[in-house]
Amino acid sequence: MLAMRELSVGFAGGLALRRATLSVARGERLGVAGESGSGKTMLGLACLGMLPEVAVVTGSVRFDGGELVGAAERDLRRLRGQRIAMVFQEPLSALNPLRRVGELIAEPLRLHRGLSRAAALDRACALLSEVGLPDPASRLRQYPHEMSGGQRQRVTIALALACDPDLLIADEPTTALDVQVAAHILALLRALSESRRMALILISHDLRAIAAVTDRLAVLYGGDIIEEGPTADVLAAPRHPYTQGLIAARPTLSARRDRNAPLPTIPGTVPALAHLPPGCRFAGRCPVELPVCRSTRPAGNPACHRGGP
Amino acid sequence: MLLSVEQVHRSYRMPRRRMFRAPPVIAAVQGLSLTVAQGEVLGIVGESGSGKSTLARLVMGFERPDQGRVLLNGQEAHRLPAAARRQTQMVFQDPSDSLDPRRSIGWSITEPLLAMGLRAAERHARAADLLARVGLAPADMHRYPHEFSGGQRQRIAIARAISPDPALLVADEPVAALDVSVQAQVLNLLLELNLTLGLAMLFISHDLAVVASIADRIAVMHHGRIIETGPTARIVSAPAHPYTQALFAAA
Repeated sequence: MLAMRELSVGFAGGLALRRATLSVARGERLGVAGESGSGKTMLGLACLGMLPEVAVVTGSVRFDGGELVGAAERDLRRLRGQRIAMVFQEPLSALNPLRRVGELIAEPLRLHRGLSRAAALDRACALLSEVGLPDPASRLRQYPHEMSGGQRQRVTIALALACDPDLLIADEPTTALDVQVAAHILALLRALSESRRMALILISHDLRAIAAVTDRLAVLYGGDIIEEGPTADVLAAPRHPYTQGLIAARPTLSARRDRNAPLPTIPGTVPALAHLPPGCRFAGRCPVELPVCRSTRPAGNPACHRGGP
Repeated sequence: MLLSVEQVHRSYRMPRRRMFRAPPVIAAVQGLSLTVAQGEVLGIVGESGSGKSTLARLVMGFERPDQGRVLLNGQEAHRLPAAARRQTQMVFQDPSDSLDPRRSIGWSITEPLLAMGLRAAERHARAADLLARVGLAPADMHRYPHEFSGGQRQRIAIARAISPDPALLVADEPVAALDVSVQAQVLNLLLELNLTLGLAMLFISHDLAVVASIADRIAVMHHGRIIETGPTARIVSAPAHPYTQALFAAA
């Protein structure tokens, strides 16, 4: 349904995304994992045709056969909110504080679907109940500030679902939430994707969130997709040294370690856009680096000159 | 005991909702007791609104308790004289907020020493020593906060916190804003400071796995109270309270 081919996004400082190729089928749940500066947010914005105007974009993103790169704003607007919708990290900044929740959800329905006010509010009520908010009828009259963080995120999800999108992009949807609330929201996203046969792209730095929701996983580092595969396989047997390091560096509850022994780490820090190495982006931090890694971009999956274990 | 918190209550008055009604009151901490021994790392786990940060503010002496006592080496935290206040230092979630963007980091990390009357040459030597201790180069002292990454800035904030040789470090979500690959580096640094300097810590986080990786003991907070406390291994392997079990199930 969505096919990204050789997509590069460049800024004055360097490439935020380098020749990314990725696809999502109908009803499929794809996780995009990466740290800050990995290009994961740019990847999400590209799927909406919402990349910043200063970005130099090459390659292609096709949605249901239509090209998004270079498409006219008018055509993109017809897709956004209707066929492709997005949920952001901070629900409070995604909701107009001066409008009641019911009006917020009704707005796209009246605009895109031409529903009457009463019909749109009815539909909004059904959506709020679908995302698991108790007593949806009285919620319609509340303002965003009257709700908790988890409830607000449910509202933004209801808003995103209003026009029955085929693809939902969620960019760090649970980062601002408490662990238990986060677990509920993730379960909700998964259930909605299943019941509606809606494709989902979950963008997150949190591998546990991705493991809980997605079938397939793409790992981003420094603008490159460095590894891709079924989520369970990648997490159980990562093949790229970066993915391996990332999984090892994550503190776990099960293995209580010796306090005198340090936790495993990835040395160094994610380089800034302008200082990314020209070959493999992970060169300089990689424990199994070869001379060729510095100069030549590795191809394949995993994108590693060692070709994985 | 280095720190002992005894039956402390602290509540806040919210903005008035109705003109002739009393403003609502939120009880952030309700009858909380805990202790931290010399060189011990006590992990505090809880969700937002559980009173974790109020606890940190009470221990730092920024707030006085409504009831109960917060004792540092037997003295009440909010009444300590300046010299004794140095015994407790704090590290925050966002290191950018704790560093002056217009001061070199060498200046920032030795600012606490100004108050102690150290001369420029002594501060210079101490800055070099502190930077080496947190894994940065002594030459970095002439650079400015924006030249560093988030993880490096947190190292700098830690260097500043340990510069007056505190006995207790209060760390409020110190790795929550960092990338996963950098979190472990900062946790290792805190562990190393604990082992080499005998620095005791009150380590506050919403993330159980992070707390379990560093704490000797864990206390679980919920609605301003500690509902369960015990050695890390016991809490992790056999949480007793239903709320702790729910937290683990979600983690």
